[in-house]
Amino acid sequence: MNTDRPSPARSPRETSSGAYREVTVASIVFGVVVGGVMNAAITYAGLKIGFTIVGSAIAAVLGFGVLRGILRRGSILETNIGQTIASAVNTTNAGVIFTVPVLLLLGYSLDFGEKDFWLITLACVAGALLGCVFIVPLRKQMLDIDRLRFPSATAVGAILKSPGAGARKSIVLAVGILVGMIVYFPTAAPSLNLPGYASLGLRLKAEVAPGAEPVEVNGEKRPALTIRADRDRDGVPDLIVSDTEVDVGRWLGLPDEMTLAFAIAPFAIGAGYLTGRAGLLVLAGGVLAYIVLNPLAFNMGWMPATVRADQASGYALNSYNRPLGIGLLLGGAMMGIVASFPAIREAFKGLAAASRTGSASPRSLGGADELGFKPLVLIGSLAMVMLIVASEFSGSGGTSQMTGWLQGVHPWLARGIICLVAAAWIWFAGIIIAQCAGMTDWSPISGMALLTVVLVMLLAGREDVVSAVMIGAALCVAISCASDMMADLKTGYIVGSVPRRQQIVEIATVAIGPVITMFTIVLIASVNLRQTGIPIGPGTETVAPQAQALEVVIRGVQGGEMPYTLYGLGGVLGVLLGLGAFSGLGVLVGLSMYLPIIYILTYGLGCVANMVVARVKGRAWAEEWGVPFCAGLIVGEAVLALVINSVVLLRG
Amino acid sequence: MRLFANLLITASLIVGVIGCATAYVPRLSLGDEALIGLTLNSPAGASAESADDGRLVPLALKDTVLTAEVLASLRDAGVTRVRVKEFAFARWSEWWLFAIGSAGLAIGAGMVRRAGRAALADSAGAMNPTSSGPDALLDDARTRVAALRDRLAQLPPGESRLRAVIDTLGQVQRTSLADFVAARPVLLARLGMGGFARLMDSFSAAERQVNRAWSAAADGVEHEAMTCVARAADLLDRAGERLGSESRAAG
Repeated sequence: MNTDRPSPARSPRETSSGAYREVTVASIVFGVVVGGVMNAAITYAGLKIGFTIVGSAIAAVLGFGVLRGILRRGSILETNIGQTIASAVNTTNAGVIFTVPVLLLLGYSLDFGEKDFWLITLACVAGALLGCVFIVPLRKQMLDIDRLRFPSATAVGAILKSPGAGARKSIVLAVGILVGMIVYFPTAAPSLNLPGYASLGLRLKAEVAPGAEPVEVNGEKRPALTIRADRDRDGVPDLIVSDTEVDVGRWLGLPDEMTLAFAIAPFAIGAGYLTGRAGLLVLAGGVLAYIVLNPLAFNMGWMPATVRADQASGYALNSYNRPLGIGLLLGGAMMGIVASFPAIREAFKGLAAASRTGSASPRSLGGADELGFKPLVLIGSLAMVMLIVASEFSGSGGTSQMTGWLQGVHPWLARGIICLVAAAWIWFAGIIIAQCAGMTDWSPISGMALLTVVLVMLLAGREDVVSAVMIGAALCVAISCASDMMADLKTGYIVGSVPRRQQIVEIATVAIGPVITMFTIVLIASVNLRQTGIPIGPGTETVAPQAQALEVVIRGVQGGEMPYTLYGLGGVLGVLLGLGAFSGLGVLVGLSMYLPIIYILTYGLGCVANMVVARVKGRAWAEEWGVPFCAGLIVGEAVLALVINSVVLLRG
Repeated sequence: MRLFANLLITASLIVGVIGCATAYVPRLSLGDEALIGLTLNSPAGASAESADDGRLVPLALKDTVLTAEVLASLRDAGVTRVRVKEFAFARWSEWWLFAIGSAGLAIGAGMVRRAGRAALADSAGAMNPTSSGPDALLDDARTRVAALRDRLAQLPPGESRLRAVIDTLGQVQRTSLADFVAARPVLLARLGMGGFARLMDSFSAAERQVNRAWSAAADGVEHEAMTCVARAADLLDRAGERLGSESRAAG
């Protein structure tokens, strides 16, 4: 018997009226409940570790378990709708936790009884709606015409198709999930007080520092080791394999100012494999920054003498890697939009034709499958009003005079201008993020948040932190929703969902997410305050790393430390890079200049693996068997991370 | 030429980025008049003695405003550059690196574009509707989906129809449709971005119906699978017509 041969499911997945199950009560309830639970769990985890987890893959797996396994009737498309809603409800947490906690770090209070809490929540809801309505018209351009890959969405598509893909493919997918979990487990085990990779005890060779005094460690005298072997000065050689990374550079004896370490992250390998050869361009930016530029700057004396070789990467990140990288990304994105303009124009024409006819138009065959302009304009206008209201009444209120570029403009008018600028910026940033996620699977949300806060502080004045953070939060939520919606639409494309239905359910449920996240943050802050006297940040379990980075930026703007010229110079290079064969090149290179190199390198391994497999076994084989396996890697890590975070959350 | 252009772009990017990294790091060899009044954005210099924990102690802390005395002490300690908060083109001694990098990127981009156009013209010229070009791939998909539509009507309802849909469309998805999408550069060269966008609008509507038919068959929903196969066949025909009309319009 040929087990490769796909076998169709035996039981019909139809509604009582005989229609193919797609948007159903079960899928909506499932999506809202699972999305809400994931939102709260991932908000807590994000405040602890600094990054969030992709929710679509988890929701797809759970969708099969619940809709198909327990209820015994979920179709592929119904699971897709459930997963679309769950990820819409979940995804907004990234935008909120990167921004809102900074207010607590800066000494502002945030409580259910305070006006600003509700206004920020309102702004985040407005952001969620704006993100959706701004990105819907670009679906055709990004998915139908530019064919962006969206590696995680492709992985979710592979999961959804698994019931009909044949037994062997399902086994490969399951093996991928298992491998992902096994590889990832030791990196997360320490949070459950279990041993991780570090307990393997793989350490560098002990090099005794000549002539140095012995050091006292835990009351014991030990010979002092060189800084190369013992950066944390605990008298023991450092680990080559820590819980989360493998430091190949130090093992090979590369100079300390050069970083060559790989994250132990199955999801990064999976995403790299699914991206394929194009992902190597992402690797190029990381190599440029961490292997070429930083060591050069260190050795040329462009860093302070007090910065040690092993601290060079950290110093460079804030001093020039991040500003240059964001600049390159913006310049590249601008070129991407210019180059894609004919495609965007065609996509809009198709949408307009569908709006006029309300049915399949002769000019655009797929037009009737999209939400038309009218509902989008209506929802967008409503969201804009919500954003303006939130902005008018937040912080010091609409009557206080601004001190930034809008100084002298009537305060009410000035806040309206800020909201309009913010809306335009949300549209631009949404495209950038969706393009980044589409090409690489990475979403530089924190970088966009940083720019938004800076922009609003320049417009409104350096003192108006609440407004700046509020608009920043709205933008972050908007762009995370935009990216998520496009990824879900990509999955929908792969399984044949009707885009309009996905768009409607996503817009209808996306507002739930920010409310859950805001409530979770305030609850966590209240508990922290009771236990430690600090609402959030250092000194608590929830250190909020991304919000700390934003705090540094806000203080930097207030102290006049922002290297604006570097952003501009990076932008010029990004535009010039985009003049070549590939207009989005600046986006890929810029993105990886400021993302953690350990993930970029692991991602690069995935890209190389794809190329090697395609060369050895052929492109078709690499797609047919490599995609389900790598989809499994992504899903395995995501599911296990959620389970472990939930356990940690329940244990308190 | 393409390899040389890519090397030029790589080298130019490295040079340009290195130039940028010095924008806020003026040389102390500039005269006092250029530096006095600037504010340090990072500590500068290191004293001979280190702190109790072994860390080096800076000579001037962050936020120090540069004065003649501070500058003199830094120069005496051998410090050659400091990171400041303010930017001025006149203080940016490595601006020429940025300029060279930018020029190199522009030239490299031009060369890549020219090489790309030449290569696409060659490949487009080599391909005709009867070879393995996009026209043939789309024709293949149209033929196979239309044949499936016709065959389904003759098959008995149930398992055999569902299996036929899954097998045939699975094959079409993996081969003709995927290869047609991979022919993007050839289509872009032939139709331009506008024509390509209009073609893909039609093609994608058809491909979505193929995908939906496959999912419905895998779920055992026969009537939906058959409806979608019929729609896909029609839409692929329209995509084929669109390819023809856009090709003629592009000359």
